[in-house]
Amino acid sequence: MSIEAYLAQLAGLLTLAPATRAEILQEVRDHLEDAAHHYIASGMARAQAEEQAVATFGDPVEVAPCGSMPSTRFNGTCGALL
Amino acid sequence: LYLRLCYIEESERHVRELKKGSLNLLVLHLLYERPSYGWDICERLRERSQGTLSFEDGAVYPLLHALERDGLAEGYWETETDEGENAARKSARRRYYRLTPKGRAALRAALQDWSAFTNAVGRVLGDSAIAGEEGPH
Repeated sequence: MSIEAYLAQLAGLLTLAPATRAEILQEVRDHLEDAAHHYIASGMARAQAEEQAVATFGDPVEVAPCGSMPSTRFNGTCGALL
Repeated sequence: LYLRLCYIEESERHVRELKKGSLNLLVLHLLYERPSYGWDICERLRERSQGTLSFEDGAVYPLLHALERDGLAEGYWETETDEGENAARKSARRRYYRLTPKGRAALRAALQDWSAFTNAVGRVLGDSAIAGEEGPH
């Protein structure tokens, strides 16, 4: 999955105030770009590097526990994204 | 064989739980060392634990946001110009987090809890806490 496709999926899961939502998406975008550049620097092609960055980041449902459905990963931190 | 598989599965679950429980402490400590952003935290976790403590990177964000919400860390945006390894990314805007005094107090408390916990486990295990000792079957 490309970085853009991942962000679109995550955006669909975040039901937050627009400003907060945009800030979180920007933060995740920065992370994925850093990760992709790290892989590119080690010799990967752009598309493959994006795939790898997204895979290492993990399932968007678990990254955005409070935007939609409850996550079992971080019980107690629900509301973290608010 | 089935029981053996169950044991392996149980052991993997156990390791996951331990990792999850320690992530909060580790992130607090890494922020104590220096203000940091998500990717940097993940890289330091990977490097120092040589991959043993690698989490899905996304897992640090709910944690960082919770630290901020609870007043243990404060987040701020910074734009920096990269050199070297990340040179392809000329200027990157990153959300940094730094520990607040409340965060440093939380780290001290978490370290005490951690050491009390590992000491207690060590005392119970006694001599059998030697690497290579067989687990239960």
